[in-house]
This record gives sequence, structure tokens and C-alpha cells, in this order.
Amino acid sequence: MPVINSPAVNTRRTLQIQDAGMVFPTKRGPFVALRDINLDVQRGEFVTLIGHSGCGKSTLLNLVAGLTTPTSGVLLLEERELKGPGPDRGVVFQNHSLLPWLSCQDNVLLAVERVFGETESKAQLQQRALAALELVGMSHAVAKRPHEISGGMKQRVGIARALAMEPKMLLMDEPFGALDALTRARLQDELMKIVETTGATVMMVTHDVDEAVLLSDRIVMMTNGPAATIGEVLRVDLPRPRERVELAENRAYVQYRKEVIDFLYKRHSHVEKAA
Amino acid sequence: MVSAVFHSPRDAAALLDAPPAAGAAATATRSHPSAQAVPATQKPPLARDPIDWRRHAGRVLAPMAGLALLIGIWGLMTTKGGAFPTPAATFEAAVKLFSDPFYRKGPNDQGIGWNILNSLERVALGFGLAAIVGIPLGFAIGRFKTLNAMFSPLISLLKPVSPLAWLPIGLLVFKAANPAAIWTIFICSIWPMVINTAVGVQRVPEDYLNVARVLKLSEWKVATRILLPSVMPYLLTGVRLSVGTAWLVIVAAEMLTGGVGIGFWVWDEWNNLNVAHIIIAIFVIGIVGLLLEWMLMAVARRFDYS
Amino acid sequence: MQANKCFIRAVEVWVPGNDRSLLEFSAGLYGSARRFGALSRQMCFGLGEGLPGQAWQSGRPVVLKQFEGANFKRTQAALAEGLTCGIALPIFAGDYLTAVLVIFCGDDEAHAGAIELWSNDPAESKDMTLEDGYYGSTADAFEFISRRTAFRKGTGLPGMAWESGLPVFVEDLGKGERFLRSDSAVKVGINRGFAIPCATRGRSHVVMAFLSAMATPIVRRFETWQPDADGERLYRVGGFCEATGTVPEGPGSAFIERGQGTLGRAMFTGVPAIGESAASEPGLVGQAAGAAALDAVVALPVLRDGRLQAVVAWYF
Repeated sequence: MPVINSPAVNTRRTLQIQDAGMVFPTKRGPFVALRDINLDVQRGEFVTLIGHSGCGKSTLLNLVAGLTTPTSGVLLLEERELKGPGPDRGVVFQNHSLLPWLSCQDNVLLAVERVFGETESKAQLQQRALAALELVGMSHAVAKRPHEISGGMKQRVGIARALAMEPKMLLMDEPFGALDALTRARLQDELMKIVETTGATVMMVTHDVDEAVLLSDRIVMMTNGPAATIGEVLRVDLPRPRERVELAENRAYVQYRKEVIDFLYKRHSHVEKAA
Repeated sequence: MVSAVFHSPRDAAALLDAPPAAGAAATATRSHPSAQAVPATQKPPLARDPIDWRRHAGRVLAPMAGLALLIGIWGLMTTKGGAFPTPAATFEAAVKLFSDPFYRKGPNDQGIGWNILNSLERVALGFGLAAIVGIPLGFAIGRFKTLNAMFSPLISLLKPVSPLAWLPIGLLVFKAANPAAIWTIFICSIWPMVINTAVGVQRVPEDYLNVARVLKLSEWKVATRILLPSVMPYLLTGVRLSVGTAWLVIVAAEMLTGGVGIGFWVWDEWNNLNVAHIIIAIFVIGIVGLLLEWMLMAVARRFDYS
Repeated sequence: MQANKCFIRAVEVWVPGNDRSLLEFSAGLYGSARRFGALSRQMCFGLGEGLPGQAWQSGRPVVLKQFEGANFKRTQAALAEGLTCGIALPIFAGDYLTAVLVIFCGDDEAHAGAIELWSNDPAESKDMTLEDGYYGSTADAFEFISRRTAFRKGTGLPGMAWESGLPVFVEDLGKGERFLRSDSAVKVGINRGFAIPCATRGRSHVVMAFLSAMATPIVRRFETWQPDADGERLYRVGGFCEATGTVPEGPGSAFIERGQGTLGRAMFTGVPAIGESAASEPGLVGQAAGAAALDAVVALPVLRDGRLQAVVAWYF
């Protein structure tokens, strides 16, 4: 029997989302963004959330990040209920959100100080910041301000900032969406290397099918909003490290891609429901 | 304006492909960004651009031509004589004035230098007070909606009132010319500072606040590390506007109240029918105002992050 | 059954004997597989014996992908008739087994079909995953993806059957190319999908799905009938016919009484029933069969928690 969600030993489940739902009060009445969300993410797993705009995938990520509180259900991070945002979940936003008046190093330092400031010396904190920047290949620009580096580099610094906190989970909301295709490809490859090195548990929102299949261990496909929920979960069984050029001709890759596209674009055409 | 170093994909690619050693060498010197910063191991430095005569001409010669035109027209209109002095006569008077700007002959008879300084002193005081009161108030109004609701209508009501209308109240309360003038400066320069600061706080990008939330920064850290730097450009705009207004007001206030200062001096010279001095005063006031503006713009540029 | 082959080739109904120690033959429809039918009519199965016996014992549907070497008693006959896979469905009224429905399918180079068994254990997760499947001449890719997919309630063919508790039919799943082996030259025409929720002994939700491509109909015509609130009458809700397309809702006056005809019998007994002469069935059933030249009808009751949810009619 194929194992999609293994009945895991508790400590291996980093994230558990149980019956989560999100309703927003609006002028026109309550808007149900999400309903019945159930998902477990294992440690070291790379999970992507994919779906059309308005399917609530960003809302779901915000729930995990703690930026929003679910109106129903509960989210557990390593068995503890989530209560608001915190450095145990490193967030990488779509527009990097680097503070423009700080250098790259200081931007990362801000995060590092927050997490380790009480127990470590200034020098140690600086070391952490530099190490994180080196991990993302930005050692040459530690002193530069955000306006002096390109979009792809800014995003790398954003990733460094998130990782420097040694979070339990890395959350990414369409992190490469604002970049051109080549930069995006390069950053995807680097992200895979970083994740392999650090063993990070990642949840990423994307609308790019290829990105989802390339990077994920599991692809969570969400139905259309409103009242969106998880529709289908696909386990991507491609061996790592994954090389984009090789994969293009890999039959399994092509099939995975098709399945996701089918879900997104050919949902249940000509359905003759018996009821 | 400083241009970003890595805008050219060529440079970006060159840097990304640079071997680690070269990268380390480049970062060893915390180089200040400049349009020509290229890593040492990479391409030879670009050749210097030849001096751009046309641009220099634009920046210097054109305004000079404008000024010359003005003086020319002025001279033309005064060749027949009359109450208005000629440019030449005015220049002579100016030379005499500025030959000894810091003399003191009596409480009401001082060199032009002292007059200017006195006015500036009042501006500084009134303006400083306005900043101390206005900026925190602006912060509070921007941050808390209830305060905004409370003060916004009040500000809208008082803002358009001519500063000179506040002068009699100042004289009534303080009973002396100097404090009254400072009070007038205060009341008219506070509005831009409050409003701009409040707007700046309200306009802090959601992204930065999200960063603060995700990092769970304390209120103090949010205020100092995120709000303050983010609001700075707006704040400085407010300051610039205030300074311009303040300088304008002080001249008028001094004319009305007497005392020592450039405004009073103008009025005094009018009473002496020394038109040349009045014209000189106009230029002086204008130049000082311009210098103040330039100073603040230089400060603002330091805090510009784009 | 007609010469133009359907994916489903034979249907049998086995019911527990009076002492409930054996499953005995109750009814069967074999179409062209006459010898297989003749053999089957004489058989009976103990608990755990053969395909029907296994379903009886485990209380869950059983997919038989390969006849040889398996716990299957009619291998030679099945192979001789071109049957390639079978599935046994236990039918429960509550905890009480009323019958075992066994379906045999046949696929070959010109007719591609698959059977999938999907299940969800509510105690473990919210996913419905592939428990077992027969893929025959369909492409490996199809099986590859199915084995790694988990559906949530309401999504996908199995998910929809799970959510509604009723049979679901999809005229075109859109998975055509993936359905077939890469070396097949024929372009995909039809890509049917048919899913039925199955009752099990236990808490699991199980859905059985039939899929077919390459102009292989699963059945000639299928209809879903639902009982009224009292459980006395069946009304046709809809369906699909290979010959005529979508089957509309039946008029309010055209209902089937409890016990009337094959469908009424299935409704009454909770046991699948077979009518070998569909054209002589009462009401809409007979009319449809006559109009589309259909031979036989199988009535399959869909029960949940002992209550009848629907009766599915398969015409051959």
C-alpha cells in the first residue's frame, strides 16, 4: 500500500494542521477562505502548495506563519499549538522585505539578534549572519544595501535571514515569483542545495507547476476558492539531487507535471454526477 | 544619485561566477558603492567620460543668464532715475554693508551679519520647539487611529491660518516681541511636521511590519529599527517645508514687532527710504533661505534609500 | 452481452447459504463467456475460499489481478474467455453480509481498462489512497501516478464518490494519453471513469473505480436510481448511455416500486439482482433497454449504514 502520510512517530511530524478553517469578516458578510484543512508535514520534507489565485494558499501559509489565526481548527508545530508568529518559522516573502536602510549583513543580523542575542556575543552573532550569507552565496555583498543588489540577490538575502534563525520550518510565499526565468531557475537550484545541506523542512507556495514538481517531496493541490480546501496530494518520487535538464526527459517527471496541470486546468470536465 | 552596482546582468553574472577567492578579496574592503565599483580581478576600469560641457553649461550658465537678464531689465527700467536705485548703486551700497557686517553701534544699530544671525536664532528656537512637539505628536497620530480622529479635524482647521494672525496672540501672552516671534514660528512650522510624520508612520510598508511580526520584535525595536528609519524621509520633507515657512514668517513677524533682525531691518530701511538696502535685504533673505533649503536637502539625501 | 466488448465482461452474485457456511451462486451474467458461466453456476465457496470467499472473510473488496497462482478456482476457464481481472465486493446491511458481487473484466490490446480500489481510514488520515489496482494493458505511468496520489473528499473520481456516498460517472477524465502504453498507435477516444462507494465491515471508506479508454465502454448504459424518503419507490436520477449520451432524470410519474422488476428486487432484498432480459423489465428500464437494444441489466444496491442510498443499474 503506498504510503503518502506515514503513521509517523510523533517527533518526526514537524507540522500538523488539523481541521483548520479561515473565515474573514467583510462588509458583504463572512468570507470563507479555507475550510477543512488537514495536513501533516514531516521533518525535512519539502511541501509545495499550489493552486489558482484565490485558492487560499497564501492564507494557509499565513496561518502556518502565525500572521493570521485560524477561525477554526488548530495548527501544531512540533506538537505545540501555534500562537502567533515567531522566529521558529522563518518566512521568505515574495518581495524580499529587506529593510532598505540596513546592509545585507545588518538585515540578517536583525533576525539573528532576535533569536540568539541573549546568549551570544556580538561577534558570534556577526559570525552567524556571515555564515548564513555565505550559505546563499552572498558573501561578496555583505555590506551592500538592498538597493545596490539585484532582485535575485535580495531574495537570497531574504532566504539567508530566514535560515539564520535556525527555524523549525522555512515558509516561502512565491519567493521567486517576481524574478525573471533565468534567475528563478538558478535560485531554485540553489535552494535545493541549501535545503539538502541544512535538512530544512519547507513549505512553499507557488503557482508554477514545474517549480512544484522540481522542488517538492509532496505537492498539495488546492481547490478553487472560496471555501478552498486540499483537493489532491501528490508524492513526488524523483531521486535527489534533481537536475532540471535531465528531468525534462524523465517520463515520471512529465507524468507528474501532467497530473498537476490536469488538476489545475482540467478539473472534472463533463462530470456526470450520479446524484 | 548613486546607481546600483549590479544592474547590468553582465556585472551580476561576472560577480556570481567569480571564484570565492576573488569574492573574498572584494569584500575585504567594505567598499562604498559607486557607479564604477568592479571587483579587482575582473575587467579593467572603464575609461573616464570626457567632460560634459553641455551639462555644466546647463547647470551654471543658464541660471547665470537668467540673473543677468533680470539685472539687465532692472538697469533698463532705472536708467531714467527716480526712487528706485540702479543696479550699480545697489551694488555699491551692498559692498559698503558687507565690508563691516558685524559692527555694533547701539542696540538698534548693528551690522547686517548680526541681523541675520538674530533672525536665524529665532527661527532655530521656534523651529526646534515645533520639532520637539510636532514629531512625537505626528508619530502618535499616525500610529493610533483614535488620536488621528481626534486631532485631524483640529489640524485641518488651524493649518490654513496665516501665521501673522497668530502674532497678536503671541504678543498678548508673552508681552514681548521676541517670544511672540518665536511663538509665531512655532505655530506655523509645526503643521507640516505633524502631518508629514503622521503620514510617514501610516505609510510604513506592510512588508516591514510583517518582518517585525515574524521576528517578533519588541515595540521599542519596531519603533527604532523600523518605524523611525522608514518615516525619516517623510519627516525630513516636513522639516524642509517647515523651515521654508519659518524663514518666511520671521521676516514678516519682525517687521510687525520690531526688535533686532533682518525683518526689522527691512522695515527700518523703509522708514529711512533707503530702497537700495531693501533690495539688498531681499537678496539676502532669498540667499539665506536657499542655503537652508540646500542644507536640508543634503541631509535628506543621506536618508534616501532608493 | 453484445459483441462489441465492454470492459466489464461478467457479473456474478453470491449469497450466503441458509446456514451461512458457504457462498452459493445466486445469479450471473456472462455474455459471451458461457463456459465460464456454466462452470461458475455449479460452484460454491467457503469463507476465505476463492475470490468471493476472500471478500467475505476480509469484509473488504478484493482485486484479483492475476488468476494464475492466486486463490482462484476458475483460472483456466477465465483465461480461456479472455477475462483478465476480477473484483469481489462484499455487500453489507450494517454488519450483516447480504451478498458478494463479483465482477470480471477483460482488456486487451484494443480495449484498455483499469480497476482501482481506493480507501480511507478515518482514524489515520483524511487521504483516500490507492489500496490496490489492476492496470492491464494501460500504461505504467497511469499506475505510477495513481499509487502516489492521495485524494481528499470531494476531489477526483474516488473523492467525489466518497463525498456523495453515491456512484459517480465521468464521461471524460481527460487522462487519455497517460492511460495508454506509449507504443499504442491508436489515439484515445473515450476515457470513462466510474466510481462506486462500497460498504465495508469497519470504519474505512472504500471506493471502487472502473476506468476505460480506447472506445472501451465499461458498461453499455448505467443509471442511478434513488429511493424516496419512505424507501418505497425508486426514481431515476440520471446516468449515461453509450448509444444516446446523458440519461436525464426520470419523470416523477415513472418510478419503480419496491420489489418490482430487477431493480425493485435489489432494492427490497439489498442483494444485487440480475435481469437477463432487460427489455421485458417494467417501466423506464424496459423502455431504455428496448430503445438501445440492450440485453441484460444488473441492479446493484448501494448501502450505507444499512440504509439504501441508491440502486445502480448496469445494462449490457
